[in-house]
Amino acid sequence: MIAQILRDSRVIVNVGSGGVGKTTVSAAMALGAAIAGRKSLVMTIDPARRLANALGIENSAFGSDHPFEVDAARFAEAGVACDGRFFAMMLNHKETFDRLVDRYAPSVESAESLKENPWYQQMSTALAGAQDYMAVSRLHELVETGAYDLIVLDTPPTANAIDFLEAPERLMGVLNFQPLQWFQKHVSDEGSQAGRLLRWGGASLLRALGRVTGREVIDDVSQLLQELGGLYDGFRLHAQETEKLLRAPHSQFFMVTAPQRTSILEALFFQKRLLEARMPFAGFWVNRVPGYLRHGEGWLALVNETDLPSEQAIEVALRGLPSMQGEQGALGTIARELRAYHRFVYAAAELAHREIVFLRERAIGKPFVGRLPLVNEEIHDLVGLARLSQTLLQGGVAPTTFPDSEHST
Amino acid sequence: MLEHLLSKQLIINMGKGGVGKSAVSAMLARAAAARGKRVLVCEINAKERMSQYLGGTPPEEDDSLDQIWSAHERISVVNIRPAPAMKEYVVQVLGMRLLYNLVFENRLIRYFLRAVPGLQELIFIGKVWFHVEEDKVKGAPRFDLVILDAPSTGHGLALLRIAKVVLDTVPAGPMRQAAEKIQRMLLDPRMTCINLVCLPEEMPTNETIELCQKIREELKMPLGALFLNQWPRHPLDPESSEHPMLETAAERLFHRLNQDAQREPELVALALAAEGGLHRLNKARGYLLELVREVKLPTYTLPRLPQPEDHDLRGMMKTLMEVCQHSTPFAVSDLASMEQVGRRG
Repeated sequence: MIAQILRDSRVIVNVGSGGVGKTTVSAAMALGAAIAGRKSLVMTIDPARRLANALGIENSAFGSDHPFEVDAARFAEAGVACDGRFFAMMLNHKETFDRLVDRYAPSVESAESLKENPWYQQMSTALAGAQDYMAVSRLHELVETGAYDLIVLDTPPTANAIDFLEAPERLMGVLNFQPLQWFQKHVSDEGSQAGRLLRWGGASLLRALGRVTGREVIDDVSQLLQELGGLYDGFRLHAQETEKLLRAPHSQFFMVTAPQRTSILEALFFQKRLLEARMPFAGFWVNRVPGYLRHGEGWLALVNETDLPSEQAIEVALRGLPSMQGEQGALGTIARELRAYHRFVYAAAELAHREIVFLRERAIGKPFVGRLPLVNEEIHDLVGLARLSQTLLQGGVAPTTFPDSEHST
Repeated sequence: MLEHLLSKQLIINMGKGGVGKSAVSAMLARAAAARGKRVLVCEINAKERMSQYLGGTPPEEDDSLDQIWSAHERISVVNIRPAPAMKEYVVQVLGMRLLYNLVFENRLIRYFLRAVPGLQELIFIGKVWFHVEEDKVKGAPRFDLVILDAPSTGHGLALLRIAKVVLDTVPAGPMRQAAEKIQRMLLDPRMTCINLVCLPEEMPTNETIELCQKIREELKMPLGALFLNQWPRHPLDPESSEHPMLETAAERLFHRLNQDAQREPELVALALAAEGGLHRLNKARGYLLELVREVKLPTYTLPRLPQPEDHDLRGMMKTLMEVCQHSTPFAVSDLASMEQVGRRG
């Protein structure tokens, strides 16, 4: 099922709270598609340039807001066979905003005047959710070019994952010409009836706002908003097209989460919101699940209390090892500590397992829930990413220590 | 330890999403309260979670008011949200209730205000300033210490930066006056310290180093300490492992057990789990060294503790507080001796 999504989707959007490894999962998804022969792109918007780190590429290669191809030599060097082509990019939301302004401003002059406004520079960060909006806009632009078989969007880390869905609506609210026009009228025409009413009420609108922000700010921002108001129709059309793109059958949303209660509650909440917004929800990925011991090509289960080797057995096993010459006296201590540590690891894995069961029980419908193992090596190169791609294509890993009948691969 | 932080009036905890800023904020609040200080923890437009860390019952969210509630003895919490913070600014700081009722309740005005660049950030940090400086009971500040659990990196930086932006762009007026007061507070090393919170992993480490440079060089604001959260447990009890060679020997041993195909799988699993633990610990030490070298701040490691089954994290906060109080933070001078740093995991 997952392999099919990576083979057939044109757009995959990964959402989730910060710190769950969303960027890595996104890169691995796009890489998986490339390895399978598609032309794929991963888009990330992150000032810390995590993707650049994840791919082991110098920061200077990114930041241009344009896709950058991970070249064949790099794959060869890493020993990863890739039949397709793999692109990555860092989103630069100011450049995206500039392009949108150029495209939708009523005239060249108005676009230029807007970009020269001192407050315009602050605009993209000031508008709540503007980053999210820019991410989706850029996604839309790149889908329109038709240059990629699959684009994976790693959404910006937001305090609240639903910002992503509400961003266009919110931006439209700010740009909405009608209230602005209303407001403008009162700013420019203090003789109007409403203006008189407000003065009569004890404070003019202008004086009132001026007290909070200062009069100069009001003037600058009023002008900026008036100019932005001219973009409204274009932006609205753009937002509608973008929304259509996200709802299209070849688009899929994945929720990336961690096996901890806070992340899982957030993931559940967001699934609800996605379904309410009628977005195509493909499932959950629980990332960095503890309790997986890589052994050869597979995984070895953790040992429960009953099967835990005795201190004596461990000591006997240790005694024969040549590297332990001269340490014989400490073997008893090591044996005891190894047992204690294993119990600690086992308990952590068991707790994580229970959290995943909790997620499955509370999730709406019977969505896909994939597990990605916590491994010793952090993933920061193509080899690591390719291995994660493999795991993703297989629908994640099966539980080894706590077998679980419901698990589907 | 921690005294050098708790003597300030404002502590700001910064870091990437998911690194444990809220936990560090709660832990420091506990440490200050234990010294008899009255503490206010400020969260910014966050989902409530301080009750998990500190206890107490948060009030129902009310859009007209940000309620300060009591979470623990001498510890209060407030979640600063855009609309109520704006109201308080106008009503309490400017003393204009009538104006608020007339103008700010208007939906259209709200659209406009939302578009005033940086106003929201200014209101947020302005409210923090209010609790530090102005919020007085009988002439004395209501709280001895305000701890700001900042939003993650980008939004957190916007909050620290906004006063300077206003000073650079706005020539005069109340917005500028507010910015001047805020900037004075943020730049004063006797009043304020900014802590960094990080995990011993590659990406948070890189982001923390960048963040630290921005705060130190661009913003020139006073830095306090670095908290390295989720420090992995040592597979062997470091207290009992006196022999420095023991760890190396143990590591080789795990390899041998793992490679020996004749072994029963339980023994191999035991060795693998411990080897994985040692591996993670060694990686973590690498990040610790890099962080101490680059950020040059006293650095506390906070152990990764098992999550309690009932998700009540109060006990965990107490443990973390005790760990910090009984440990000497790492400093640049420790770098000279890698062995020493390694041993103190």
